[in-house]
Amino acid sequence: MIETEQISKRYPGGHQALKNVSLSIQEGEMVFLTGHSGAGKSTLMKLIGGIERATSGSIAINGTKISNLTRSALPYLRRNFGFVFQDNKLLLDRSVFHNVALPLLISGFSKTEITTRVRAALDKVGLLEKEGLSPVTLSGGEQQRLCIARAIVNKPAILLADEPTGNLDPGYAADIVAMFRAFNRVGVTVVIATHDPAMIQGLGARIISLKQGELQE
Amino acid sequence: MNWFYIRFSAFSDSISRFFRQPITSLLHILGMGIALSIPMGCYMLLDGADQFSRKLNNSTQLNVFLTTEASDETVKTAQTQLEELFDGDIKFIDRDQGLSELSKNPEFSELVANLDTNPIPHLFVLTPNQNDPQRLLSIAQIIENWTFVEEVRFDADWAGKLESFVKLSKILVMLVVLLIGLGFVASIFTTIQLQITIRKDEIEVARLVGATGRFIRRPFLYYGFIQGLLGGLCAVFIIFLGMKYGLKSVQPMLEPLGIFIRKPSLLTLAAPLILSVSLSLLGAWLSSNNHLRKIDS
Repeated sequence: MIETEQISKRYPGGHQALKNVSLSIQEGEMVFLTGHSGAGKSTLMKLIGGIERATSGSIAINGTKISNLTRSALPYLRRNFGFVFQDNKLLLDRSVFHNVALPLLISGFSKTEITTRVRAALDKVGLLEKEGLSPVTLSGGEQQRLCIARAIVNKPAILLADEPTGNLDPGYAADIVAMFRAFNRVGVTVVIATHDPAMIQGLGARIISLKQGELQE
Repeated sequence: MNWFYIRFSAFSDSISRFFRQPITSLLHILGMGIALSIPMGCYMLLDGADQFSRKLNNSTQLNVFLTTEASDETVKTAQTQLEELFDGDIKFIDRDQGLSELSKNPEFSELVANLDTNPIPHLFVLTPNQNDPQRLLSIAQIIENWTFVEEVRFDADWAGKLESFVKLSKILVMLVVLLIGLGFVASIFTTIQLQITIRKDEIEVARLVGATGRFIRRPFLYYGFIQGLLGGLCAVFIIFLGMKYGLKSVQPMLEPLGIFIRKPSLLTLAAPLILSVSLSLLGAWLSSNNHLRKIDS
């Protein structure tokens, strides 16, 4: 499902974030990307998600090479992904409901369908009661769950989570990991970047390690 | 329905953002309205002057004075040559008739009575059928070279100059409109940049969840449209007020000059509106596109 071939990423200024990374992630697989800060985990996630372009090498999602896509085609590729970020990237000027509704509005769903799907996603993460609230009134764990609801509302085939439990205490973190596991069980491919060993333990998922931009599988 | 819902959401969001800062928005609209109404007002004033100069040109005549020695035979020759050359009304004023008309003037009556000989030449007054100052000027130049012609007076020469002045002024007004237009685009560009900065997080998230450039650009184009529309309406309102109240005080001063400012046509009133909306949309498009290019690179 996700194939990377000898991908490298060098940022303007000369920083080499990734060096010749080749990996393959199968459909329905759950994978952890691990490594210290600066190992290249976030960069790899951004390249897979089509948020940034690789300097060299190629990435294919379901057989489609990202490098072959035009700038205008990239948004449609991104709709196959659900993104979860450490800093949530929630929009604080709109309600919990409207934060989750954004991907559906972008994809052109009807108002009725948006309402149904948003409520289902909020129900899944336990935030249905709070749909009218502002995200600022939510706790850290709830904000992260809201971010997950926004990521899954479009029913994506691939879920990319970058340090999703980075700012959470162990109790909330375990909840979030359990949620990812549940999504994986229903067939969603889940890729989680983390430097937290406690998160990986006991899940039996494949672990891909990065060190200074290079693969150490 | 979805198509309408997506656009309606973006439009209502743009409207609410526009009125979230009422004083800033109001001042911006007022600035746009004033900037547009000034050249439009000047244009209308010049249009009045243009009508006046055209009217003058329409009454343009050529006065052809023959030499004092010109005989009746020469007058006949002149009449024939003029009829061949000139398309319009040719009126002959005999030198005796000229003198008698002059003697009717109390200022000159005594002077005329003391004259031994008639110093007034025969005169032909030529009135063209069609107003063409250039053609009339070239005819005057031909007639001037005839041996029996003393002088040709092109009375509406200064009217031609006025027409040229009005034309030049109109070009200047157009230049001012162009400069104001550029200023307009730059102003909207900056306003939209500010809006983009305010909505930076929203753009980033929208982009991550698959928003196309068109989707991201849309609320900013709507914002530019609203601003342009209201700015244009403000300009129309200022022109309307100027016509209704300002003109009352200016028209009496212009009337003796023969300048009448006409009420603006629907097209004249629509011009600032169309200009304002188009330029605002252009500024918003350039600004949002510039940002999209930056974040995509």
